[in-house]
Amino acid sequence: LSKNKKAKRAAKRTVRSPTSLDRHFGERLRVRRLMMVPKVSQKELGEALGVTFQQIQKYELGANRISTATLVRIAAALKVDVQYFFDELPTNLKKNKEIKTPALVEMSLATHGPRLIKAFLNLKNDKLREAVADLATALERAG
Amino acid sequence: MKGLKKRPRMTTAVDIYIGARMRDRRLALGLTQEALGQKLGVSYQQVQKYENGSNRVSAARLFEICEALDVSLASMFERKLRA
Repeated sequence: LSKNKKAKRAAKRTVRSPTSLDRHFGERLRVRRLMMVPKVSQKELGEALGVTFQQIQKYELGANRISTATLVRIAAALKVDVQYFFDELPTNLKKNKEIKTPALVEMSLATHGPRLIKAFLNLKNDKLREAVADLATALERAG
Repeated sequence: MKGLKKRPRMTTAVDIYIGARMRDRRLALGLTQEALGQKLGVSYQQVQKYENGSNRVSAARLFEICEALDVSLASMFERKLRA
């Protein structure tokens, strides 16, 4: 493309806002990044992709649209299949509908959530898991 | 992984590949670019650009394309892609 054509095109292009799908991708990205052992920082992931940590932050918040090509590179960097980012989508999703955040995602984003998930899964048996769940329930009731 | 610096608007091998898969599937369904464009809410020119790999396909758009063409996402990535 000639410079002229490119400039014309850029002028014509309207900025399309990110959709709730981009928010979904962002949440999946953040969850996966934090679940890597060891955790991958926004800075490290940015370096792997050749972008700034601020850009990763924008992706995670759903503030920027993610291109398919970028998603493929992110998937490779986080050692998951691209499909991962499309999992847990409601099947009847239409682009502007709100997505209800799955409980596990909420959990991973909650303060101490990732630590609790990790420890819980590492517990030796169901008896111990039950004890943790009972404690949490009791605390919830005590409000 | 190489930390390749990329200009953000550049299309990549992934876009070209997705575009080709998209065209194959559209033709298999006997849809025109116009008809697919209507399903996606874009012009046939835009469909053409996606198919030629001359425009980037956003991940959200890819999801819509898969729905419009009634295929799984995996089928758009049949060969393992390393970008």
